[in-house]
Amino acid sequence: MLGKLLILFLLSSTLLPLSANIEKESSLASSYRYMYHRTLGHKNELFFQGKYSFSNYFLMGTGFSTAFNALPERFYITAEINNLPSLLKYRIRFLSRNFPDYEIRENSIIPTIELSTRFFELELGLSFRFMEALGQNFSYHLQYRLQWNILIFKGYELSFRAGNFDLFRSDNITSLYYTLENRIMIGKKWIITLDIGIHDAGQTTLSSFFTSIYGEIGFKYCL
Amino acid sequence: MKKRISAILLSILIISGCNLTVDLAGFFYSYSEPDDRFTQRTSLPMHSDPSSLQSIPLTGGKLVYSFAVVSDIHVENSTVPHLQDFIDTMLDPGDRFILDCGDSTQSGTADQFTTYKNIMDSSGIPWFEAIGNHDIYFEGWRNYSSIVGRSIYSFQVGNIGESGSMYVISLDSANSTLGKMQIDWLETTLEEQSGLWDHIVVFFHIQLFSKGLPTIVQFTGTEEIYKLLHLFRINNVDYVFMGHDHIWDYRNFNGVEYITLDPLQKKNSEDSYVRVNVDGEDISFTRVMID
Repeated sequence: MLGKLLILFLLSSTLLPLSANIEKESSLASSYRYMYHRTLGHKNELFFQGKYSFSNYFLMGTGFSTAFNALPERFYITAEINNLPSLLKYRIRFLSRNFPDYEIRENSIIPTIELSTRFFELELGLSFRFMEALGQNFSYHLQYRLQWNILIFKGYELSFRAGNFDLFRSDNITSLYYTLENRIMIGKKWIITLDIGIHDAGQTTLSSFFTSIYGEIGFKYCL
Repeated sequence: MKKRISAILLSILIISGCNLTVDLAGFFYSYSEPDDRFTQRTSLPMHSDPSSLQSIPLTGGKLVYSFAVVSDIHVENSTVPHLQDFIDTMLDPGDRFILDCGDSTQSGTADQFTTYKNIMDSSGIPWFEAIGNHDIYFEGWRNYSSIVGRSIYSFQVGNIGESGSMYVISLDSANSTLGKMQIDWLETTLEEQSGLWDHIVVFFHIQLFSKGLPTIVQFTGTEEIYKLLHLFRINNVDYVFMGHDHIWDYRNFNGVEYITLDPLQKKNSEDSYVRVNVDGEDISFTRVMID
């Protein structure tokens, strides 16, 4: 019985319209995040993003952030090919992160593939990371993200995301961020975003010690 | 169906720590936090008495000595042939002390810590361990603190002003993060000690660098790693010894030499240890392979 329900669930999530219908492809967004890290302390960060869909198949985006140490401190450019076929998205992102307090800059190239259904999204890829200070260090890492779209209503979406990277972050293999995301549609163009999350210590995949907690509030304007 | 679920769970659980053996409860939960262990450190003893290291006689007006560095011993039973063999046959007469980069035990049990301590004591020279993630599994911290001692400490070799003098710092990275108290202590300690000693050595368990996709770098987040790299650079640390990964790695970044050691446990990878030679202001290391 459980097996049949699971198959029905997977079929429905595959055949129904794609997830995240509340968000249009082209948008401008801004948000504020507060994070408390048990080792590194408090952090306030502002994010600004934009993405534009050139066609049903091609989209580009960019964004930057500041934690009031430098402008920008994080910067990304991303390009995405989708609908080939409809469940898949192919992305490549350039991410630059500046750590002025540590005199370190990190540049990453992150190609990923995303499988997107109504209720689940799975994104897998690699990051090729160049760390620069007075010297250089190169490494490559597995990046992954799993998202469960828990509630999808007209005008409201709730999802849970677990992954070791996002648009502004590229972390180590078991350094996971678990985020609960709320998207609330206001009128036809505006979306309020409310996220809360925790970050694990990276000791194991499922974590044995949480090191930070964060909350983020923002808005998105659909073009 | 049950077998498939078990296989999937086991596969997930195998992505764990530094050893392919899984300790289920320790994988999911560690009751001990770095800030608590930092607070307790002054009430706990050192692993060995380091006072003899301050009276090493000078040779030609400088300190000339060596020490051995090992990691990931993973004591499981009452007999530990690879560790006993190392103590009995691989130490040099010139080795003044031993550093162990952690995961001395497999499951953090009292018996395992007792066995480990007894064998290390049999070396006859001071030894110092950096606590690892396996060491705090289950009741690990309670056993570690009562049998081995403190997890965050420093000691000196020689005296300020002597050529070849060294300051050694052991960090507690068992939770893959240092905690606010410990990182503040590290920052202050490095600032105070930098420039006073010819050499500064730091050792801890969780490694900072990834060698490739099969490597599981498990220090929490890149930002904490970058902070440590910055502190080690500006305070002229000579060597940083680490373990955990069971894969040898060496790199020189910003003038600091980072060495991730092989394990000393004769399992799935090449085994080796490191010997560091100090000849006054000169310091070098050798990776010694174990057949």
